[in-house]
Amino acid sequence: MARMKFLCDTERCIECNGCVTACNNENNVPWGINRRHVVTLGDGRRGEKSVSVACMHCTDAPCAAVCPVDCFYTTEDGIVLHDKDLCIGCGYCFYACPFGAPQYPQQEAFGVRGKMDKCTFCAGGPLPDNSKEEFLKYGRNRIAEGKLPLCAEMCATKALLAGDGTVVSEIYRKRVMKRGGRPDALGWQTAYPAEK
Amino acid sequence: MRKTFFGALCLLILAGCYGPVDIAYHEPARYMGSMDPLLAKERSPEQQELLLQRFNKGQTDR
Amino acid sequence: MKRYWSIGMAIFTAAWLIAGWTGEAVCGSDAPSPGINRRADFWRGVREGEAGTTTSASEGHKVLIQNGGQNWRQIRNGPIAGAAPWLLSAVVFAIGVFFVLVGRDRLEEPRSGVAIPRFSLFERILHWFTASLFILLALTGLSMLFGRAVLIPAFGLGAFAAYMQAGLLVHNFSGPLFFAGVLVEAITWAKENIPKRMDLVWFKNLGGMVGKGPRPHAGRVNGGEKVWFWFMLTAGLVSGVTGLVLDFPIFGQSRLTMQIAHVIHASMGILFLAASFGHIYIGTIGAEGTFEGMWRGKVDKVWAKQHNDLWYEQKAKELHLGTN
Repeated sequence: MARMKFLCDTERCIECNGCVTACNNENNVPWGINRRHVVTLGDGRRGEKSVSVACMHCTDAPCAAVCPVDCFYTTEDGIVLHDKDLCIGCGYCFYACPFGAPQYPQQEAFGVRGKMDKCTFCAGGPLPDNSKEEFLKYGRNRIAEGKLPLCAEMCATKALLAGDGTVVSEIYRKRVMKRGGRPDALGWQTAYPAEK
Repeated sequence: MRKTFFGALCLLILAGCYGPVDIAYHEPARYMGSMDPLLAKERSPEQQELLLQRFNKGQTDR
Repeated sequence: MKRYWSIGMAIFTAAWLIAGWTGEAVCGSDAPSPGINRRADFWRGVREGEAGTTTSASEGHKVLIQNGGQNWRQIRNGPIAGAAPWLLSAVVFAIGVFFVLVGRDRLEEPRSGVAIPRFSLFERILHWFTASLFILLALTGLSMLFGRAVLIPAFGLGAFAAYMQAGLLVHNFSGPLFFAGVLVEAITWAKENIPKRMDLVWFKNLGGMVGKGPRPHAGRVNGGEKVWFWFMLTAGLVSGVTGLVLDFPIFGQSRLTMQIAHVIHASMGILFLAASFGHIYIGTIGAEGTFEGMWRGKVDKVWAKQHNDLWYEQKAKELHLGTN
């Protein structure tokens, strides 16, 4: 079975936010919520890099581990989805997620959280595939239509890849080899400095 | 009275079987995984020299 | 025509040269800095949780990978959820053992029928206001922590989610009210709860509950009640402040702040609940005649003499009851 993965190629991402716009439009995302966002580190400085990030559909998802009402489930394709009929808007998944994927539309005063909303890998939710209710609650179910997430499909530089993890990593591996002369490996060990 | 007492106690103990109590506390830039055998090779001076050569040959900071 | 052409060329060349020059001056050398790989630097920055820029206005979106979440998850699901039931059941068990071995602290003399006012109507309303909110908060709070392990297997996902949706609302709205109640209690009862030397003796004699020793002296509030009061105030303040941080995500508090606040809130809540078991026991079945003081506002003369003798003497003078 395929395991769906996102991969963003930092050498290609040009911070155009096309993926964000595509996602918001395709999934009819509520105002104020971005299921996907682009982060730029060292903006304006030499060697700045951008990454488009959304829910990474973790294997051992922290959101699912802390949810008090157990509303998360992983599909056969390894996509982490949640049931908005169960969600109580407690905010725990937001505390646990390293990527800031879960967000809450503010429905009432005092910042009371509504039902959590996050990237669905364009796979909708637990409701019948491509039904009107599913679209209104979770957005488009492109996976059921045999299509991949629109953010990746729309990416102008093909920086954002989405799909079966093995295929995606194979494409990325070929890219790295083709680029040549750019050994990304130098300096990598300093991410985890040597023990003294 | 006694039944409710022991019932409540059993329920509480059941809730105790929640998850592993020992935690691995993560800090940024601290490696927590098992030892990577390739790390020693990468840190060796020969490998570093090779990487630097290759790096200087084609690297451009866009 | 040819002249214009050459002038044009000259201007173009000059412009190109100047542009080249300034370009060089602004960008500096295009040669890479030796041994510095900005790609590795980027991912190191990500790993260390460095904040970048983004067009998204949502909280925490500037940081690509936030490290605290995994720690919070482990602490909540591990030590807190793992230790809390054991602590709570240990306290229940200890109280049970105490009840079996020592038994109720009965009135030592038959009731006199003379009632002495102990708590005013305001004090009683204040107490039961906070107490009922406390029970609501404890039940909903425990459901948040253990509902998934205990209640979902019993009642199913849908029923529990419906209950928990209401429970979360109750928890979030009664929390600030409870906090306010605790603050008013602090103002009302702080003065008489200031510790005195006599309280040490009270603890040495275990309040006269165990064994046949003489009853220690106590004013309106005895040593045990004072300890409960100050613990209640501390736990109320700590869980109240952290609760407000979690309750209102509108002050720009960061994810890390909320993670830390939640850990403190949950552990303090469990300790608060564990300690409250002792308070509830001693106030209801633990000591005979205590409950009516907080419920009807009056206690029997015998109870007052037995538990709070100094307060009784003062009251007796005020009410002209005589010394016996």
